[in-house]
Amino acid sequence: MHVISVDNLWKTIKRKKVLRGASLTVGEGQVYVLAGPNGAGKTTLIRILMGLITRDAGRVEVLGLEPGGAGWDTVKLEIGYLPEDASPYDRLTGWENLRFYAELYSRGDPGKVREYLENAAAISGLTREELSRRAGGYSRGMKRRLLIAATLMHNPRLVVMDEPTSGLDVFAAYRVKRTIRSMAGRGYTFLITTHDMSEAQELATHVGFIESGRIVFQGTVEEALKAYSAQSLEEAFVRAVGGGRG
Amino acid sequence: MAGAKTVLWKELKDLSRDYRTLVAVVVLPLIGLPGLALLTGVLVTSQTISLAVVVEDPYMAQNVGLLVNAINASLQLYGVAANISVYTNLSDVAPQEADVLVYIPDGFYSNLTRIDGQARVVVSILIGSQASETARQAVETTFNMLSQNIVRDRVLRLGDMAGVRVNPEGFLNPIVVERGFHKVTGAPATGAEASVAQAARILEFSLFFVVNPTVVFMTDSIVGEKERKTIEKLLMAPISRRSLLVGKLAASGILGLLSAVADGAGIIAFFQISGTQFTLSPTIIIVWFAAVVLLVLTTAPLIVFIASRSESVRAAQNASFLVVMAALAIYFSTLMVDLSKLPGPLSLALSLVPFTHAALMIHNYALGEVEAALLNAAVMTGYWVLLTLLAARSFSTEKLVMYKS
Repeated sequence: MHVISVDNLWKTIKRKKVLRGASLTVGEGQVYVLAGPNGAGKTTLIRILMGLITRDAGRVEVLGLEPGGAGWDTVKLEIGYLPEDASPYDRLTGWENLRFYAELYSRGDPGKVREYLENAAAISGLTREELSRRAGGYSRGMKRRLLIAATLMHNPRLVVMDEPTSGLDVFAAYRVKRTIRSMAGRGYTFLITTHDMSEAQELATHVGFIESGRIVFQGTVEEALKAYSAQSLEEAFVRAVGGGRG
Repeated sequence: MAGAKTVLWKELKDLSRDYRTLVAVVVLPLIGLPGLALLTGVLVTSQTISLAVVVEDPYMAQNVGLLVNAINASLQLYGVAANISVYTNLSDVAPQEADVLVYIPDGFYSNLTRIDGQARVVVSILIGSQASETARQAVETTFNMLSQNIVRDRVLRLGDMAGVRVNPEGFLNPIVVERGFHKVTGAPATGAEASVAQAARILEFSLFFVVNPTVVFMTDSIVGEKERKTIEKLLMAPISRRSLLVGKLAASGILGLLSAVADGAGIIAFFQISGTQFTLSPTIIIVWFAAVVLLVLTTAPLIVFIASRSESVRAAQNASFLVVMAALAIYFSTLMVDLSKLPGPLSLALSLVPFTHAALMIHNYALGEVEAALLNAAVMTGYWVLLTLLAARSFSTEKLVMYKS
């Protein structure tokens, strides 16, 4: 069964064709890494999948529904979304940030709020003392861990992360990737965008290469390596999207 | 509306730690306005002016102590502290050293004691000095009282000479003007009601202080979320756009009310401390509060409309500046202009602006026109509903996400 299904997706933003017939499918339990250079259309594709922006043409289904359509607010309960460069509320403490999202995802059920907060605290790896401090004083890595915890706290069926390690130092990026691997091991479905091929190789079960608004390849990691006779995903990616550039 | 309460909680928590906004909106008017009155009072009473009394009339010179005491008493009534020096020669005084110069020339007393004589006194003050101007009024009050006593004496003397009994007050005040008040309906009004109607102008002007924090908060609450990169995750949380908007509007309403209470208390304290007569009734305060609530509810969605189309807090604040200026123009004019008495086209143009009805609501109620005040409240409510619907339409996720931050 497909968790995400995109067929022939088109989107123009400010007269620029950002997506030009993109198609992809993400199956249950996959860690699907959508890799592409900056400006390839990754974030726009993700935003359409999340129902945040509309499409010009094409067919999109996420968890069996059209994003932004009827019933979408209920489907949101089954999705965890971490946008690129997202930030917590700086004047709220770590706990208060988590509590805010826990309240929204639990829809006022106190039992679920407690459960989600416990989940989040465990996922974040932040100490109680750290969670009691205002998020404005956190390092970039701590902020990202807090937001990942807020993204995963409600055990979503589908997790969508846009450049989750972008701008993080080596240690912070390592912690984030470790969290993703751990959650993936428990059967979560992930769609992750990145332009870092080593990260894609570390995390992915499946990959999609996007270039100028088109998916030029999708399949398992092994299929990608085989298709491009490559030793690494980086090499496969360069051959797939780089053309003569490599 | 599931989630609106949670958004409201988040906004209020965030706001409670935004000390700069809280200080500017709540603490500053609450402390600043009474502080201003106190400071002004302290400064006014602590300044001392130099007053030179030059008496060249020999008889007056013998009784100058009485004159100085009378001037001193009058100065105290006016709240002016003065060092009074007495001279017998005008040439002994350097005018630049005296803030106020009172010159009584020779012949003053003889003119005063003649039955039809006109005595002359010169009061010269340092220009550009408020204290000197006040002192001049105090000195002139002293001489006016002296004049009235002289008139009473002359009238009695003339009466004696003519062999008739006369009432000097009839000569002093041949026409007595009695004050009366009436309402727009024609019903008589009491002096207290007239004072409340006068004070209502200040309340109308105070509405401006409510508009500004609402604009600042709503702008930051929407465009600030874009700039701080918190909006996208929030929009993907399981909460409808309507609930999100309601939560934010409610938070803005609470801040607006806090601001109104602080400003209202500050203004009342200012007038109390500065000794200015300012009469309010409980019902006018209730009407003012209702106007404030409606004003906040109307302003907030107007700003949502602007903010959701703006790329940065600065751009949104620049665009909202027009709203603030419109409010300032209307509320400042209420101090001098009777909005309900403007000619047709001008009145119609102003009635299209929601801010006008908040001011008119207070104004009409203060004048006893309860039905007109209710109509203004109904128009404000209509604007609120209309603008909220427009804001809800403009509050699209695509606009919020796609405009660059």
